[in-house]
Amino acid sequence: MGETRDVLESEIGARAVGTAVIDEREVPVAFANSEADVVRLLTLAASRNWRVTPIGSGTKIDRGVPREKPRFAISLRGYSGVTAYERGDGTLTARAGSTMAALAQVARSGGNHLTPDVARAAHATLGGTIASGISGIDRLRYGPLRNHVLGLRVALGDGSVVKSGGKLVKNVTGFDLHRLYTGSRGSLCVILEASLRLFNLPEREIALQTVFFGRAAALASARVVLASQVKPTCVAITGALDSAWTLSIALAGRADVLVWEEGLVRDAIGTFDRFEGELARAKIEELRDREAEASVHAACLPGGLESALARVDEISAHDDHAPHMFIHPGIASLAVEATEPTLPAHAAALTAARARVELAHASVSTRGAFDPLAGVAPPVRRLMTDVTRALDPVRRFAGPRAMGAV
Amino acid sequence: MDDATLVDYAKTLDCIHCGLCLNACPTYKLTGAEPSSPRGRVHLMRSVAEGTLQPDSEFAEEMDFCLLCRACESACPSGVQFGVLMEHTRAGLQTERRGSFFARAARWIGFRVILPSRFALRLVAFVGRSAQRTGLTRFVSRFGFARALRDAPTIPPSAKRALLQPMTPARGEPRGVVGVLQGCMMPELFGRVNRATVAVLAEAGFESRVPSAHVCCGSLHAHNGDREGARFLAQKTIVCFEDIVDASGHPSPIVVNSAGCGAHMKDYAHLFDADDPWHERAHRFAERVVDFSEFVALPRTRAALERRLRDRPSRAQAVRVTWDDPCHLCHAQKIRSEPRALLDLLPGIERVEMRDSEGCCGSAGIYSLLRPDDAAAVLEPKLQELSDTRAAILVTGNPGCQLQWSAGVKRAGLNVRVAHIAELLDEALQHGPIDPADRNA
Amino acid sequence: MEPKIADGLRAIVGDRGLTTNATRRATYESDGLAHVRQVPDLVLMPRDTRETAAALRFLKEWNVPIVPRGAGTGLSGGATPVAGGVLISTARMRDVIEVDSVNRFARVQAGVVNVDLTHACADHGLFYAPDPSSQKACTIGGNVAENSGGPHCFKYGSTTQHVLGLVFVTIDGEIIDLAEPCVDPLGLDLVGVFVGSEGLLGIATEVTVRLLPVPPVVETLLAIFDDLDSACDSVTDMIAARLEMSAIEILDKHTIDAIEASVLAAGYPQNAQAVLLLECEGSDVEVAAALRDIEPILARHGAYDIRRARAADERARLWAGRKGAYGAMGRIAPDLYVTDAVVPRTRLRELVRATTDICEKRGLKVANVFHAGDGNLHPNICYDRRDKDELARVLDAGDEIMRVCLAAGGSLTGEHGVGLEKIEGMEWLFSHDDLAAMCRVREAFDPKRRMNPGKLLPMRACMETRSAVRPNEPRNG
Repeated sequence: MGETRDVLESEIGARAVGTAVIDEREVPVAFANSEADVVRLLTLAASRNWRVTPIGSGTKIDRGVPREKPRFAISLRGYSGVTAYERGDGTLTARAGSTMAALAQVARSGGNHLTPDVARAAHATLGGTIASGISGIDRLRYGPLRNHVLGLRVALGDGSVVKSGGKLVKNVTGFDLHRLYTGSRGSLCVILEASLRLFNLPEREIALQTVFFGRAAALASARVVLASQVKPTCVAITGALDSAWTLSIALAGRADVLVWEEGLVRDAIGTFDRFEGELARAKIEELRDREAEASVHAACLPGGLESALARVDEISAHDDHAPHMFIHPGIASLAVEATEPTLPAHAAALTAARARVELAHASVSTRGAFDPLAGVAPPVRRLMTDVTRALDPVRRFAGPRAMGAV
Repeated sequence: MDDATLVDYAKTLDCIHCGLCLNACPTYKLTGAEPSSPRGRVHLMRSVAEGTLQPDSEFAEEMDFCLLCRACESACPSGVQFGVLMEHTRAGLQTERRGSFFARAARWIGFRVILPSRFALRLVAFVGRSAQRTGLTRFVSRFGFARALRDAPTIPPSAKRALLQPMTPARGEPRGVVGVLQGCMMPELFGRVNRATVAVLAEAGFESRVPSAHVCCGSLHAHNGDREGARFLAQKTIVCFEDIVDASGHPSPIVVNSAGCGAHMKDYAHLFDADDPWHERAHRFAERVVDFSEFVALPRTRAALERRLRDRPSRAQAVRVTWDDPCHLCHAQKIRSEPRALLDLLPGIERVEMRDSEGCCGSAGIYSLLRPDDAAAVLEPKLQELSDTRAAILVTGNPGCQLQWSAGVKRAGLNVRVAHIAELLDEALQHGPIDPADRNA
Repeated sequence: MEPKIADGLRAIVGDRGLTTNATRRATYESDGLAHVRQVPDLVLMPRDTRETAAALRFLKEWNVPIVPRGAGTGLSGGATPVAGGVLISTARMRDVIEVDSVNRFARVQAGVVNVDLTHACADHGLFYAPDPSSQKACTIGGNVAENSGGPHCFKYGSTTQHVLGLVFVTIDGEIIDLAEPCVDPLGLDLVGVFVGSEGLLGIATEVTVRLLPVPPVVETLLAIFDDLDSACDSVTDMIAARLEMSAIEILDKHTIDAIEASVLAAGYPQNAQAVLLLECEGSDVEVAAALRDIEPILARHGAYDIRRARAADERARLWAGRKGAYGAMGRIAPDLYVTDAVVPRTRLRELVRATTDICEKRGLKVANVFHAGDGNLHPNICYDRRDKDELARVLDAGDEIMRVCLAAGGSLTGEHGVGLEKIEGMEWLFSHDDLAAMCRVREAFDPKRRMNPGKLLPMRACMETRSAVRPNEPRNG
């Protein structure tokens, strides 16, 4: 550790070197402020055969399978800024270290909405968000993150800087390597710059909340709303077994359409508390940020949601503790604030219900004991490994095992 | 004939290889094979014309495999005249083809002796009927070469094979005179359809004239590569119908109740070179040709029928019927809405659409005789579509389709009546409610 | 080709699954890119994943190139055979395996025709969104290979956004089963990189696609313009105003004339210089709101007539005309060359005009019909392939169009793929390193580069990668 730090300091200066805790280990962090810095650090790592990992602000650093141990981390937090905002074309290109909140603000100033609307947006970086592959709270309306990444510029382990895709909303030129990099969690490359597709900034935003006694009733109402012609940005129910459940519905769009949509929601669920503008946003952000702190995140098919919930309930019954849950019936995802000892049981139960599970904010040993790819067929796993090797033949990047970097 | 003239080269150039025809083609759907698709066949023709390909037996096989349903023409945005191209190529192949003596002889007898002669047709029907009654066909069909006989239609008794009268007067106030094509095989197999046709025309106020000297329009000849025979019969047909005129001396419409014949007669001009005087004569003739449903669905005629059908007794429970578009009606003559509009006039029926109703049933003239297995395979998915409609009656407008469907329905064990649209209209006018069972059966 | 190969394959796929006859093989010599031709040595038509895998395992030892083919409607030569190679057609894999209306997905074999998929889920009130103009014939497997688009991709996105899972077979005959529908995969997004890989990474045999509910209201508008420039400008304004429509298409005069002369005549006004075909979908309230915004923009740019197609059949005719436009152009020329460039939507007028000028300068007739809402241009250049000089001028014009669009920040292809047609352009758009990364991923799937060689990735780039990667190999501690 000391030696690494010395080398980094002599390479890029003491002020650009810090420390981060990654997967319970202290790791020196080199702050890159330019593309050249990233390339220089990668070249340095190559010359010493050190393993590195890219990080942003670290908002999602303890989510998912732990990484292999890196010698140092390259933080791109200092490499920020919008490089191209094509207002008329609805696209935005920015450096990886830009925070999602800053980018959303730029987009908003031009009348655009930036998706994904992610947790802790004031810190979460563009690069980190894309590398994690996690979609935002607005996914129901706008679709998953990976659909909006139009192109990426990345540095590979050998220090070469390459791009795929572009800045255009429609483009099929070349392999979509940016799809591969999205969600690869630092195991393939350092994301340097990304182009995103933007959406129309809603004229108005409202949030509607109502309380139900019992999850079944809340779910049933949520489903009525989802089956109607309303196009919410988010429909979530939150609560714990044997307690009150809150149904939150976020609506956004043209003022005249919203009036009508709100009427439809009223027809579906009766009365509700209503929040508008800043207040509405605050309500949804509260939900979004708390959900991100949950320890179990799972996604399944809509038809499988009930059985996934039943399995979580079984664990609660055993454990005599009903954890707080976040359920998005429209996109069939859920998050559970499960206690650390129950995490293996949750992971196993949800996997058995054919959900895709990710553990977060738990110890390395707990997260490391769960292999989300355990059920993946050997040829598939082998191919993931081959792809990782192809792009990073010397394993410059310390990736999570789940990426196929066995 | 050399390879260059085997194919109508200029017409192959219309194809830009976009492939939109593929899924419309029954033989492509059956095999998934490019050479068995319209685009593939045009490509083969073009390659032969350009000299990069020999017209070998595989080439001939693909040309024969085609049903000539012309569904590809309805799908083709470039306007490739596939029917004309295929007839031309088949004619070319026919002159080149050696084939066995037996096959050539059978062909010659069929096209040149039987079809053009009323006497020969009647004789064949008589012999056929006798053979069917004595069980001889069942015995012979055990042998490979005569397998097609097994599925051959039952020939009705002689009383039902009567020819139409040369003249059938209109009922009520006369509104005009029409010529009616009674056809070559129609009287032998579907005399009832012919009688229904003139009966409906009479109810609608039209006097029907049937030229007794006329036998065959020649469409089977053209489709199967006997252009010379087709030309001869076309000339004969034109002459036979030329003196059928109305009271004021105007040439009368010629009503055809067989979609295949009608499509061919409308296309007669193609048989003659542009500088041949027959070309112009054929063109004038073609303008008089109308399909039965096309004619009866004309506003005034339809209104007359509607008046007559309005107060016919209906039935409590509607009978479900579905219309199967004969290829040579929908693709060749672009007639789609008329028969549906007529069916909707019938009391006590519920008309439902059948999925892929414009897909070929596999009859395709004498295709079902020449290639019974392929024809049955083409019909197979359509039998499922028919069964999905839960219709009690399948209605068509072409005798070949009627035969093919009847055989298929029987094979599949479906309880569906197969009827010609003229039969149903006649039945409604005579009796009122449509019977889900065939009164004539 | 070695007769033993045919014998071995016949044992796997049966007689009907193998074409050896030269006449029959000749019909496979090109796809929609008709001027490039090569007869394949064998044509294989497996029925399912298992047969495909068995055939590829068998072919491994013979070391021959493999070219996959769907319906052969592609316009970039993605399915053009390779000399000495085996063409594998998915045309006999046509089963819809499953339609799950609760979870809104369908699993189909790769050879299912795009429009048949939508028919298969119509009874559930669902549809499959990507609608390439060739949708009546093209296959889902082909759509996956090319990441196909279509007019409604303006709203719904290209094929990649609708593929939830895949089963594909690698060159070595390994079955990669990723059929389980999911949006965010566990591990690397192999499905994401496979979609649009133009047959270089394997042969898709089964596809799991997302289905969407049929919108309750669909409104189609036809806006009629006196000149093409104004039509383009109105689109630029509509995009800038971020109006939510499902399709924005432009058809110019030549295109309208061709459509109206064809079986697809749809009532496009023949006195117009350009028309805009617009569609709004959603609830009646949303649609009405969108229309309120659209009409003033159209009027401002001089649309002198705006027609609404209310009846379903009228709408169907307009779309059939639009989608058959390429074929209908066959009436004004024996051959057509369709370019497929994407440009920023802020510069539509300028670039449409530039492409037209490029063609006219070379004495070529060009018709424009394109997905204006996505900035996806399709100049259709008319020619006669028998006229070698004209063909040369067409290809030259195609090159210049690509360069002009790239210079304006555009891209080589929006939906037709690179294939053979634009392979040179790859080096204009991508650096050596960019291409090397793609080649490396390709080699993870296919180390010997036997799948669809010579397409998409310039051979040179791949050869250099191999020599460049070698010295770097593991020296891991």
